[in-house]
Amino acid sequence: MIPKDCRYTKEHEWVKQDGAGFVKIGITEFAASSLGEITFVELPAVGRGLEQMQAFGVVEAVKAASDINSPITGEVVEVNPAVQADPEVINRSPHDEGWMIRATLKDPAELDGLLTPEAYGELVKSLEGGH
Amino acid sequence: MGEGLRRTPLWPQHSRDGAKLVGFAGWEMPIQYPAGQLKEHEIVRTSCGIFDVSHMGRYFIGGTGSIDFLQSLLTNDIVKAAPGQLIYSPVCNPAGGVIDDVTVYRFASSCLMVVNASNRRPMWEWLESRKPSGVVLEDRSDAWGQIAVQGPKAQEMLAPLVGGDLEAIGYYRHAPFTLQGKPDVLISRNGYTGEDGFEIYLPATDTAPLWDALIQRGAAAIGLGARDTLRMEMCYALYGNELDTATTPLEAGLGWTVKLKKGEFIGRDVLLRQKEQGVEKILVGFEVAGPRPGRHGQAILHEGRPVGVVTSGGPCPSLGNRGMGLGYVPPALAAKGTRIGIDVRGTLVDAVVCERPFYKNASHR
Repeated sequence: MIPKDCRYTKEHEWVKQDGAGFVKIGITEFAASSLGEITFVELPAVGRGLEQMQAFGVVEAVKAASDINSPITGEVVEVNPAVQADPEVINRSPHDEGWMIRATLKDPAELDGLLTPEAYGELVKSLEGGH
Repeated sequence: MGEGLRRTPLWPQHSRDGAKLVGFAGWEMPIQYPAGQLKEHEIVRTSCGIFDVSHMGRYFIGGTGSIDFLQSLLTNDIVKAAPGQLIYSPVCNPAGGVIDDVTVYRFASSCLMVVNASNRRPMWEWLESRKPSGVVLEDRSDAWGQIAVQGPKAQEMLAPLVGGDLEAIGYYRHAPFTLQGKPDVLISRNGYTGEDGFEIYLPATDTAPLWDALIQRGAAAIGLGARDTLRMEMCYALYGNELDTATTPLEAGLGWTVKLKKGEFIGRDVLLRQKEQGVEKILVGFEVAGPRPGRHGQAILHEGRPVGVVTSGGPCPSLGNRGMGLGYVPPALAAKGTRIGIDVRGTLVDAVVCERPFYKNASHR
């Protein structure tokens, strides 16, 4: 499932507009499923700056660990307490309840440079090779 | 899935049951089923899981001198093994490096060698290029399939399908049984999870009926993901992680498989010297402080300096997901309680050398 109201990175993060000038950020279903059950998430404090395509957090899972990169430049305004209390919520609901941070969006034009849902869908398809 | 991946005879079962399939050593294999890796792991520890291990290599070695031939290749002692026993053994190159770690089933005058999927070709070539004229090699990898049944309830699950008493097979023993009406199916009591269980070798076409019968009896299909966390909790070596051609069995903590007194075998000189003079690196288990375990390939540090490398690591599901791992350090840092650090993706994580295995309540006999 690849929601139409998001933009995507090649590293499998999603970003979605969430009120004027704000976005929510998380990892995609493909990323969550590739990592396996997530056991720990390290997320930044509110107020921390984000730079586009710089790591802002870490996901630890049974199969592997992965940096989480910010799709945009901005500042963290909210961290999802649900994913810190129960990281597996990201496996169960990666695009909805499993959002990770809410941030300001400094430059809306950055979104245009990210993958569209269609382009991201093609990427996932190429990685899954038909399964 | 990528082009050119091979499929085991149980691929239709995996596909039907919703497995997530990945490329592994040239094979398209289930990494997990819809239940998920943590659930699969728990099922093997508490009940019974079944594993498709048909991707492994199965080489029959018979003919005149076959036992002596194997004795010259294995570090462990196949001559001492009675027919009906199996042994675990590294196969070394002349430098003592591990070419593969194999399981060898001893028959009266022949053996079955089970090799890692990733080493099918190198092991075949190693055997083929060294065998004396009277020895006959036969590759039964494709004609046969292989299923592992693992967990405290393994015997209970398998027994009704078997004509004969499974209880009669001891740990690391094998015997032929009638299985689902087919005679002479090779069954052994061993495994790679720490739990009680069996490995079953049967014609490829008979694997699916057995698989489905076990599922029907309540066994759960287990993927490579849980296979890895189960073996890591037991600190069993995985070829490519703990073992490779640049590592000797003594360095890997497999001294119990190296029988220097049995006579000549390939790699013996180096292993004898290591035994007398000591090794430069040795495998240890460690536990990290905090929720970020070390992972394969990360550097191990001591007092700020890199001293070794993590070979396996991750959360241990049977231990509340505590972050444990295996890695190589100089012998001076191998004592239990030694404080080390792991470079976890740029962050220095504290760790301490700990006892092996990590999981101590396994049900194997």
